[in-house]
Amino acid sequence: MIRYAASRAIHAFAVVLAVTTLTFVLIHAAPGDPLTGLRESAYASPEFITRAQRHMGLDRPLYVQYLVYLGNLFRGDLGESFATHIPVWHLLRPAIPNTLLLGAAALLVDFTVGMAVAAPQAIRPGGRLDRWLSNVTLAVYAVPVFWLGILLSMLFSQALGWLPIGDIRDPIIAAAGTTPQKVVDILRHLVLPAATLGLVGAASTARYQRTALFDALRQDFIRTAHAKGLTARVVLLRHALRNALLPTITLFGLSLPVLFSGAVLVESVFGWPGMGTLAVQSVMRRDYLVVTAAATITATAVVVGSALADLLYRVADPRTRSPA
Amino acid sequence: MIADLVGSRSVRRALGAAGIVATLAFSAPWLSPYDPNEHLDAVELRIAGPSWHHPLGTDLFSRDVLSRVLYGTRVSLTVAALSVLVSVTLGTAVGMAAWLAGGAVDTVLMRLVDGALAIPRILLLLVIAALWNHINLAALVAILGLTSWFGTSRVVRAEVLSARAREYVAAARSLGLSRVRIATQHVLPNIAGPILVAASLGVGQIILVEAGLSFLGLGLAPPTASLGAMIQEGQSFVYQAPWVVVAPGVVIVLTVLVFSALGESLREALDPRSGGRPA
Amino acid sequence: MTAVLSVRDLGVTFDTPRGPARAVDGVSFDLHAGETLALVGESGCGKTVTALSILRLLPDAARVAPGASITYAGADILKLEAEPLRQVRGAGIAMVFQEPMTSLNPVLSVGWQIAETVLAHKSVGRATADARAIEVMKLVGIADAEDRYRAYPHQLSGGLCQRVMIAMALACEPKVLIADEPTTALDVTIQAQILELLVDLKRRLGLSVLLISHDLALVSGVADRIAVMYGGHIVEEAATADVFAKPVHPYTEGLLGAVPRIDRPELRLAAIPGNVPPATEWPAGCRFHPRCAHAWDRCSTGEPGLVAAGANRTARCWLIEEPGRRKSS
Repeated sequence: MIRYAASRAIHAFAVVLAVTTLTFVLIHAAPGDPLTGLRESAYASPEFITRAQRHMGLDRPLYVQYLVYLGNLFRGDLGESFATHIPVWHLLRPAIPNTLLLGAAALLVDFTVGMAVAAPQAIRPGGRLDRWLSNVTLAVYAVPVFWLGILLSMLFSQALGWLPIGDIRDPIIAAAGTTPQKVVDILRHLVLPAATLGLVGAASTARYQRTALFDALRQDFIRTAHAKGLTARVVLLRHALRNALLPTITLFGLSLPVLFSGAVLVESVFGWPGMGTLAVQSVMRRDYLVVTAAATITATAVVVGSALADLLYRVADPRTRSPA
Repeated sequence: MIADLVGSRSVRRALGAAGIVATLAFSAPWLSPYDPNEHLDAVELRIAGPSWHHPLGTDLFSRDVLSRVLYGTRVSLTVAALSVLVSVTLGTAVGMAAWLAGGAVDTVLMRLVDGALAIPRILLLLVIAALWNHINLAALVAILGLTSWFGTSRVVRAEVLSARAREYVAAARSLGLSRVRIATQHVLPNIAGPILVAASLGVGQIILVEAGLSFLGLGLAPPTASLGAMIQEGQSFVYQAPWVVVAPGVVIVLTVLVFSALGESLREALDPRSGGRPA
Repeated sequence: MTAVLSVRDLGVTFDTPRGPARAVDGVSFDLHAGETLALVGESGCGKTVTALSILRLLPDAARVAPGASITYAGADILKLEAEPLRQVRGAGIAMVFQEPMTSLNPVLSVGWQIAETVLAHKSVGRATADARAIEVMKLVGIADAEDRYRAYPHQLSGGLCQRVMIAMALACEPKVLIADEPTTALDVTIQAQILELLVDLKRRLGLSVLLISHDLALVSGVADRIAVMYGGHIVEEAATADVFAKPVHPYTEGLLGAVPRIDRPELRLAAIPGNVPPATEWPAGCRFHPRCAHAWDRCSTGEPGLVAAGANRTARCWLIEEPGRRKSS
């Protein structure tokens, strides 16, 4: 187990290294550099530009620049925003927990709804309900997440007035409310973005989970469980679901990149102040260090998340433990 | 294999549906009642609801939504088809190359692919959009194609390493054929099925990604009709004029659905093991 | 003798793409208190389907004939509601399956799988259930039962897993034990041990056992009576000694021929020619006639009924009416 964890950690480290290499290559393959604007400016002398180049290390060989870039990254130095001259980390820090909150809530919706849809399908495969739900999940799979977000906000916020949209908190409550009021306010703001992101994810989870449950329910031990007089509920929950959950742990790791991709769009729709919104704003300002930093951080989160999922799988499946 | 595919009723049905969507989209110039970019009447036809003359209503700039949707679908499909061509070719080439080279090259390539897959697609595209300025059709196709092949390369590599492929390889190698020749003439035809599935599902995925990009304002420059941009333009007055947002969204859903269904039916037709088993 | 379990006119049909498959057809038998009845036949003859239908464990695609009944403790199992059926399963009638490794849940400890059976039927606490699990594990001869309680199926050998399955079956003191090919998946040496264990437990606990097997030789030392199945029918039923002394049905004769004999090992090769046809394509007349050495035209047109063929034995063959047709071997 420890050996596996170590090798998995090395793999994860290699992947993170690959991510940083890719972002570095992207930055350097792009036309122009941070000084392009300066060069076009009439007020910057050639001497000043050379000095700025040296100051930023742009005159050094590419591999040195890469190593410096890596070193800075691992020290947590993500550089300075060109547009605002604020350290990138200071811009990102408040956005990270917001994105993680949205992602976690969406995952909760994703897996709960996914399972709830898959279970009745797997119990009667090929039945009318199964076929109907299969078509529904295939259709939801095709729904653009931002479009669903707009429709849900129109319905539940504008038409029905049930839930607030825009930002993560109400400014008045945030300024003057009690702690429970603030928490409830954030949760109310969270409902629609998390539901949007979670529902689209639930479609693929349901399709995956249906297969896993379908396979689990056809195992010999399910017949044994029935034969010894367990209730149908216990057979489904304790025997089938438990086995079907194992592949789902892997699905969790696989779904993270899609989740973060969707989060960028959903944050945009609902004005959720997360990394996605920040990245989109930074793209508009051509503030690319902020964008690459956001991409690097989310990719690292994805890699760490999948590694943890793999480890969790190992822990959860007794078959991977050594024989007694 | 082709015979198997054409023999499957669900494949035929999905192909038919895809054909209808493509025909409608590429007949946009003849089907559209108006010029998609023409501001028809800024006073009378500003966000006018569906009517006989404008079945899907008009938008904020009094443009005909139906015409814009038709042209937008044509753009989406063109971009998606060309990008898939790029990504599937590249993915197949990299997957095969990793297999042919083996050893350290294979490991490094696959770690890089892992890394690329770990970066959420939209964020990767944001990075590129932040670095490159003007995005025209060719650039969009290049960007989408170049960022969509990672999954395909994994699929191709896994397929050539599978037991089934190994038999062909062993047989061909015993005849003394070179590795590259084995790869192109013997392995490639045998993994065409999974590649076809990846391509079909890829069209749907890229349509969604392209819509997301243009929703964020990072797609083709306006006033080019783009489904994602239409939704973005309509977002702020969706309560007053839902048709501006609903129409392009429904078209995206239907188009993606058609290509997902095609991919799923191809997968089922190609994999007899999955008979009766849900995919 | 009183019947603990009575099966009457059991028919099971599966809907297949090639049409309905009549896997079991008109099967009736009684299992008496304290006896071992063996259901014997080649694979595809319907014996496992018969066993599964007793506890209603058949897959959804199976349809049970409307006239059938399976009586246990004064009630027809086929008509029970979910809850009373659940109470019969495991507590009244327990079952042991062919593949011990796959019949146990891989992600639950074997001890807990026994204990949960106890909890499903008795209103006792977890501690009592665990104690009972360890008790039955000892009963079936598992050494270090306390340690093995925590083991997972993949950590145990096939033989040990089958012992766990038997312990699980006996945990709630059932009256009837159905053992479906309990030794087929095991090594030859382990087979004997498991069979011995079953015989011993049956005697000590006063169980009635329905033993399903394809192996007539294996059954001979264990069963009091034998019912031979072919083509979804019971074709002969008699006391074990009678079956071996003088088989009536040519199929039984063939099965006996297939029993290896130490004195003449070459006889094993003289098995029944051909294979069991698929259940969608039973031939007209006697279902065995295409493979029968004695068959004549009557066998391909009329289907024989199950009739008395001497004291306490029945068979389904035209030879009972026309013994002169039997060809001497």
